[in-house]
Amino acid sequence: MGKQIVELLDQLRGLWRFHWHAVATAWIIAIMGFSIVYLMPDSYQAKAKVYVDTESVLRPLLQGIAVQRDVTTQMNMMSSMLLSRPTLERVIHETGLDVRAQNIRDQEKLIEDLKTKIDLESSGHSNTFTITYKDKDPELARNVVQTLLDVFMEDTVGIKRTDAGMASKFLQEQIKEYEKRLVEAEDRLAEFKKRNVGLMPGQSGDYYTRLQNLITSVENLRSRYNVLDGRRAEIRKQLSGEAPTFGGEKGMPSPIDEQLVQSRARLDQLLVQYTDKHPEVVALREQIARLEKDKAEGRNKPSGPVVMTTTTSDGRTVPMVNVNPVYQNLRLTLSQTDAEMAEVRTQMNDQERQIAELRSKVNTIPDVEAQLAQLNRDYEVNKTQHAARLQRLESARISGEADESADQTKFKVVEPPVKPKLPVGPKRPLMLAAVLAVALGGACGVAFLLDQLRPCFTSTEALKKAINLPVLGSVSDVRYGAPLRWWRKSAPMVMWSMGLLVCVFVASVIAVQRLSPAVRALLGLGVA
Amino acid sequence: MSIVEKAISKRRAQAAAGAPSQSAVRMPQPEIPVPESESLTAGAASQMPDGTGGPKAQIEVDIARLRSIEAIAPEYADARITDEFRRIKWPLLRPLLALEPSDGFGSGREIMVTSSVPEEGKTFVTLNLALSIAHEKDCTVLLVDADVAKPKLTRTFEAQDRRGLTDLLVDKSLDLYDVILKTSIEGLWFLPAGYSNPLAPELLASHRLKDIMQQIAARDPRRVILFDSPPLLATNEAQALGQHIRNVLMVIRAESTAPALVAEALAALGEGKQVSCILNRAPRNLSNSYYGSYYNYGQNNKT
Repeated sequence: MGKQIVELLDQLRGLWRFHWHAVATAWIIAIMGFSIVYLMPDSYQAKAKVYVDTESVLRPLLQGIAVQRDVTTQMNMMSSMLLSRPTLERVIHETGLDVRAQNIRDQEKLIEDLKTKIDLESSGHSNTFTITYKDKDPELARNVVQTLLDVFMEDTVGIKRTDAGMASKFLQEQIKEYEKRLVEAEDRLAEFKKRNVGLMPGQSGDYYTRLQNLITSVENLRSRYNVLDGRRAEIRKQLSGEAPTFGGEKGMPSPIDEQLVQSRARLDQLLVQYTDKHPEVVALREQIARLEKDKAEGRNKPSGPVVMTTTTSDGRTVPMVNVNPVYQNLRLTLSQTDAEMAEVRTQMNDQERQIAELRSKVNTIPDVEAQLAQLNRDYEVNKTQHAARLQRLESARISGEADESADQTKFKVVEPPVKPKLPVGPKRPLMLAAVLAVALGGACGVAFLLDQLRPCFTSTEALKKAINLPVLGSVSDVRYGAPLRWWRKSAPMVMWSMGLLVCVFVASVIAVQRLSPAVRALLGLGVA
Repeated sequence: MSIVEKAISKRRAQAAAGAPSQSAVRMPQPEIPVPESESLTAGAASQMPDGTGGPKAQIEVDIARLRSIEAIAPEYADARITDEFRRIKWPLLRPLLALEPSDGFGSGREIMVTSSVPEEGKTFVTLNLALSIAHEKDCTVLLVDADVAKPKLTRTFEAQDRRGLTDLLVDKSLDLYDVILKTSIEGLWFLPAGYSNPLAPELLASHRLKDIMQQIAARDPRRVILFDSPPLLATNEAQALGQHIRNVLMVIRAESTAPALVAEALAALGEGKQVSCILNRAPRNLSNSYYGSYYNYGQNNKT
């Protein structure tokens, strides 16, 4: 232990070589430092407190229905948003800070400074949020905080609205898309139906049923056609083979006969289409029966010959001497029959064609049915999706309205920023003490540094350690002449010098407290 | 008054009184015939062992004057310095006096006092060491000023005009005792530096110096030769001198010389040397202060 002390003392002796360097350093640092601290402008702090009410009434109501926003994350987002470039640019513009900057680079620097100088604190428990800002101009400090506060309140609402807006926009786009799809599906379906109009299952029953119906119908038509054909032949025969005159016993057919023939023909006609039970058929049979009865009762009197001209089919005019009502009737019936036959033939052809078509499509109809099923399914799916999105849009709109109307996160300014009257800093006495410490430290440092740069031997022990040669001893340093006065001796002078420095420090502290505003006004610095 | 002064005054008194020496400081019977002439004036030749006589000339050494020019310690520190030099000289002398003359290095009786850089206090050390050795009972000392460029010692002794070392080296016909001077201090002889010669390093390196040293040793076996040489790093003379001298005393000034320089100087010296160091102008530390006050206390009692 003793040896270490001796070594330490040797080292200090080495440092002592540069004691005047150290003293000079201490004084220079101290004077410079004291001046700087003295001349520093006061800094004022503006502060605002905001209370955020997250215990909202609406939250339990809206749970599950509308989209919730976590307020804490919102706050974090807020603080990072608050110190973003656009916000700060707004602040420097609105508070007039940007007049301090002459060019772009200065402005950049201004924004950077602002970013570091604005202080945001959030105490999680009581949901209070504090914004502070320090500046040498108290008015400006207050303005900056006020602007920030305004931006803060505007933007928090803005975030939600934008979010909800974005959500609803998204949903609306989706809905539009699905609508489009729906319409397309409908179109496809419609077109499909149009293309395959005869093959649609719903229209006339099943495919095979349809086919069967057609076949039956054709058969019926054919039989009818045959009947008509037979009648026509019959009538022709009657017309051509028969003498135009009807007389004799047979002579001119009596009205009853004529009627009978007509009725019978009509009956035949009806029977092709209808059954015996048909009212018309029944009425006709009764008529025929009556007529036969009348004929049997001999009321049938032929009428005299009538001479009339008539135009035959080939344009000849022949005396209708041979025309009797029966003949006329026959001819009428013939043409009717012809017409009917033509009609039936057309129908038959048509239906046969349909049969052929159906038969040809025997393979495609099932496919068509399958396709139809698929299109229907597509359509259904689109419809459900569309309906779902509409539902969500509705829900989002409700939540948005809820947010807006109820203002879920309540903001209340607890303490608005006021123009500070008293400066909050800088803490001059503290800084002066720091300067003193630095001065003393610097002094020691300088001495140490110089000692390191210019090493020496201070004692025989050091010499013995450094050199491997015998050290025979030491010769003392003797001072010639009279002993020095105390003010010439180094050590006391250094001590006095340091003492003086400390006195200067104390004086500075006192001066800073008392004279500061006056002196500053004298020097023309800042606002009092 | 210092011990030296007291001794001188006593001798004077004895000489004047003609009485046999009865002094507090006893003078032992020398093994060698002590030069009879105690006079302070120049002139008297003395009997040397080899019968050749010794130095013809003598110079006066005034202690008070030396003190005034700060060549030796001031009065208040005298005791301390004297003790310090005693501590230094005995380890130095012991091996020296035990050696046989022929050792390859000159005569083995030489000590070269040098340092790394100028202004370390070589001259002071050499002078005070010489004075200290001069009081030795078993040997005497020849102080040589080998610093031809800056002959400080020569100036101190006010012997600038006299012939010196360089003359001896150049002119082989010169006899040693024509150039070496006796001093008024018993046991102390002095050889001045001589005229300044640009070829001094070569002269010093030459064999002539070795011959001179051997001559001295032959004529006076008990004479220690102390060389005040220039700094090692400043000139080559020290190195040249070092060719012939084995014992080197390195003077290092405290709180001044950098260790690196010392190392460099030692490297420049070369191999095969017996090097010892002393710390000059050492600051007052614990060991120093205790040591000094004891003797001061003793002194006060005596007077």
